[in-house]
Order: sequence, then C-alpha cells, then structure tokens
Amino acid sequence: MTDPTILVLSSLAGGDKHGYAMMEDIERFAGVRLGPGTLYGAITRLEERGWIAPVKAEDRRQPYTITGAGREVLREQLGDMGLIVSAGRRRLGDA
Amino acid sequence: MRRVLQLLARLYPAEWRARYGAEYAALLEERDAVWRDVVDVAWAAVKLWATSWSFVRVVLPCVLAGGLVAVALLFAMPMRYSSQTVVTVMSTYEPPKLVDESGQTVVLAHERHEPQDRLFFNMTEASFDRDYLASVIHEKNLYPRERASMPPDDVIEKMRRAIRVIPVARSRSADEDLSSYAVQFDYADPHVAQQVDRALISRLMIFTLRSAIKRTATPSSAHEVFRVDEAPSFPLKPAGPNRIELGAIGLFGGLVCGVVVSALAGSRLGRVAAVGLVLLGTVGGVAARGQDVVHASGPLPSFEVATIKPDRGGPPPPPMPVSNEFRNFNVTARDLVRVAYGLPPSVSSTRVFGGPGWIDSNRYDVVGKIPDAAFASMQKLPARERGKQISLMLQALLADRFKLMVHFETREMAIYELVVAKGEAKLTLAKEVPTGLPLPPPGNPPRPEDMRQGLMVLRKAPGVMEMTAKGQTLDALAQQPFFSLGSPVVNKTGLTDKYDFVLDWSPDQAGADVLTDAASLFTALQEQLGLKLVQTKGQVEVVVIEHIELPSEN
Repeated sequence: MTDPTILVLSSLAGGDKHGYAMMEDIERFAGVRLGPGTLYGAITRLEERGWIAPVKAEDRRQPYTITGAGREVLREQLGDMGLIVSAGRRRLGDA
Repeated sequence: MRRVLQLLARLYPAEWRARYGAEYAALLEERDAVWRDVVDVAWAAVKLWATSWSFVRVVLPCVLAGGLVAVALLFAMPMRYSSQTVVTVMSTYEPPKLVDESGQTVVLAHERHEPQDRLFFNMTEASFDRDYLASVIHEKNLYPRERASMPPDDVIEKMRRAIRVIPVARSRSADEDLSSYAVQFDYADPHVAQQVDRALISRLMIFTLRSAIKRTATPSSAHEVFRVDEAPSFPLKPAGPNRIELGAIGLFGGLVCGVVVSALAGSRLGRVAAVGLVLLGTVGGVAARGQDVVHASGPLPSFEVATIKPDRGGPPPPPMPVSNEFRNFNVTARDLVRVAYGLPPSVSSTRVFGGPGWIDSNRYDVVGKIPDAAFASMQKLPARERGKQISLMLQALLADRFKLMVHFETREMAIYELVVAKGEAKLTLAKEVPTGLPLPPPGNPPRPEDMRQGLMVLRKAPGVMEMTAKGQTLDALAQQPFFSLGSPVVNKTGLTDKYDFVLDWSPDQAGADVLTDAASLFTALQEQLGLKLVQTKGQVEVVVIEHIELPSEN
C-alpha cells in the first residue's frame, strides 16, 4: 500500500500537482512521508511509462497530471487491492 | 542540510538533471529537510545511475575499484619474509601395534608418527611460552608499531601466529626413530626473520635436550636427540602478502558490491547474479563446515580403564608389550580436547576456543586401555575410523574426568581449498588391495613399496620430500597434519575415489639453502597431481569449551 507509484497516481487523480504539493497530499491522505529522491524516482518511472505527464508550469515548480493510461492502471491496482482489503475484512469479521 | 541535499542532487545523471534538475532543486528548497532525506536523495542517485547503466556498466567499475583498493592495500601492507630451519629430533614415542589378519604385529606407516608430532608440538608450545616470546620481542625490538598501540598479550599472540612448525620428513631404522620439522618465522625484515628463527631454534634445542635428559635413559650424544639439518634460511623473496590472492579478493569484493548495487537498483540480471553468489557462498560454507571435527552419533564408547596424572617431567613408562592403549604424555587439556575432536595439531592456529588459563599450562599424562572386544573390532576398520573411535573414547573420558562440556560453532577462518587445476586431475585410481598380503617384519624401516594402504612422507634428498599414497582419498590427503599450512585444508575437488600417487616437492624453495630441481608444494601439486591449493576464507567448524574442571582423582 506504500508503493510510491500508486501513491503518486492516487494523488494526481485528485487534480494536477507539483512535487511539493504531491508530498503534502500523500502525507495527508496516506500518512506516508515520501523522501524527495523516492518521489522523483516514481515521477521519472511514471512519466517514462506515459502514466503521468507534465503540464504548463508557471515557475520552477513543475505540475503533473495523470493520463488516461495512468487512470486505467490506478483503477486496476486499486481493484486488486480492494479484493485483498475486502477478503481481509471478511476474514476478520469486520464486513 | 538543504545545502547537502543540493550537492547530492548534482550526483544524479546529467541527462536526468537536464530534464528534472530545476524542479527537483525547487522541491529541495521548498521542503523542510530531515537527515533521512540525505539517505533518500543519495540512494535515489545510485538507483538512477544503476538503472541508466547496463549490468556490466555497473559491475565493471565496481570490480575495477575493488582491484584498485587491493593494489593500494598491497602497497600499504608490509612484506612478510619467512625464515626456515629444518631440525630432526629423536622420537620418545612408542607407537601402538595392531594385529594383522595373518597374526603379525604391524604399525601402519601413516599412523606411526602422529603422536610424536603431538609431543613435538607440545614441546614447541612449552618452549615458546609467553615470557620467552616477550623477552624476544623486547630484545630484538620486534613489532614496534604494534607495541605502541596494542596490549602486550596481543603482540605476543601476533608473534605466536608468525611461528609455524611443520612436520617435513620421517625416517626410521631399527636403531633410531627420527622425525624432522621445519620451524618457520615470518617477519617484515628478512634479516630479523632469520635472527629470530635462529633464536627460536636455540631455545627449542635447549628444551628438547633437557626433556631428553629427563625422559631418555641414555642418549649417547646430543646430536642423536636434536639435530639442525638446515640452518635458518635467509629469505630472498617475500612469502606474503600474496599479490594474486589479494588482487583476487579485491576484484571479487568489487564484483559482489557491483552485483548488490545492481540487484537493489532493480536489475533482473543483478538479482540473478546476487542469488548465484549467495548460493555459491552457502554451498562453500556448508562444504567447509563438515570437515574434521569428530561428532558422536550415539552413546560414546569408553576406555576400560584410564588414568590422568599431572605430568611430573619424568621418563614415560615403558611401552606395553600389547599396545591396545591410548597414551599421551606431557599434554595440555586444550590439546586433549583437540585430539578428542579429531582436529589436527598446529601451533599457529587452534580450533578449540574458550576455557580457563590452566588448560594451556597444566600438563598431564593420559593412558587409556581400549576394551579387548572394541580393540578386536577396531582392527577391521580403516585407519581413519580407528582414529575416530579413539577420539570418541577420549571425549567420554574428558566428559567424565574434566566435566568437559563443549558446543560447536562455525567461524570464518583462513583456509586452503584443494581444487582440480585447469584440465584434469592426474590421479590413478587405487588398485584393489589383497587382504592377506604379508608385510615386512616389524622393526625394519618402512618402505613405500611395502605399504599396502596409507600415506608415507620421506626425505628423498636434501630439500626434497616424497609423499607416497596408496588407496587414499583426497579428503584424507587434505587432513594430513604435514599438509595443514597453518590453516585447515578443505577438499573441494569433488573427487571421492581412492587413489595411488607419488608427490615430490621442496618444502621451501625460496628460502632453502640447498637449491633443488623439485617444485614447491603448490607447484608440485599442480604439475604432478593436477591439483591446486587456493587460499581463501571459509566457514570452519570449531569447538568452544563451555565448561571444564580440573580432573578428578583416578
């Protein structure tokens, strides 16, 4: 659940963000404090795969947006995670 | 902190910096940095380099860096020169005699001298005691740098490790029983190595003669008791550090680092290579672990009667007419533990750890009678198995009288691996030995051609040794005391058959006073048997004393 690529995609699914905004957002919704190196390692991989793309920057801070392919991948990944989460909850008797 | 992160960011690949550099710098400026970020930013740089380069491009610089470190170490490490003296001593040990199928009393050649070796090793340990070594260190001004930075006992231990005693030759006739040993001393200065070796031999001679006067009824002359065959040699070439070995360690270390970095950076080839290295290490460790130490696999057999007495320094009792006895005189408790667990004698490295101080200072005479039924059944066993049975009886005796408790550990130690050299091993499978073959009458000097099965080492000529083996496995060869070069030897040839072979070599070509055509042991093994000794580090099983008490009354 702490895979940086999933966290970045999830953050961008809520709107375009630059690096610092992504880190703040991820810390808020997932409680995970990504390091700068880890964040930009994930951004590099995601952009190479075409799952995120840079949008017009107003200053040195570069915002990114999630692409259609990125949304599909995120949906698949979250679906798989959802299966695991619901199975785990069922077995714990929580659902 | 922010400045550190910005400096680290410059380590990222130029191509990456051209694309992301400005926005990354903006992020580092905006964010409140913590120390964990330093590691994060640095590790990301390593990963980016590793992923942008191929496996070979990551590993190759690491291997080269390892090689450079090895070269730097080679220049930083002092040279080691080894001076050697060959001495011959009269045996005070009467070997046990075994009854052959034909009813003759015989002694197998390769068993004959092991107790004599132990006596001699004990003698060297007693001669080169702490006080004596301390006086030599002071007198010759040895190890000045170490003395300034290390406790005196550690310096003495360092000197003790620089002394090696190796059995090199045996000869026996009806009138005399002689064994020869090479006493070597290693030091950074060849002149000092020779001087100290000479001093060690003088000390050893005095000790041996004193002991002989106490033990032997009438030695007709000192020359019969202790003889210097080859004077302390002046080492012309350094004995170490081994350039090839150090270079190989550096390159291999670099390879391991490169593979680890590549695997952590996500390279599939790197992961495969890392798994391969781990498997290699595990197999090597397991193979080395299994050697030597005698483990009990059931209830321990015991001696019928046994006595342990403090050694008074007097003459040993006369040999028994029928020697179904284990007899070991003037030995320390540590030495008894070593024998009980089947470990070879060596002054330079021990594999028995722990225990109070008295186990190295108190000396004992031990005699144990092997029960008749056990003795009879032992005659049907191979020599090595007979040795194991006696070791197990000694384990039972030590547990009973010394209340000895031990456990086994695996520790990393310097070892030699015996491997097949390039091509094939030049070994001949052993011929089948006819069981009823008559042997020469006891008392005659043993000749390799008379030996049915076993291993014999004789001095063929000055400075040349000849080893004759019949029906011997390479495991047995690797575990011969004369073969242990201060470190355990592990058979890694994968060959398990029994072989007949002859090996001629010169014990120390570099330092020998007599120049011969014979090759060094290392070269001889390769040229004559197609085998190679490779020095490395390995996991070696050792015995750790948990509890030991002064022996109870008989």
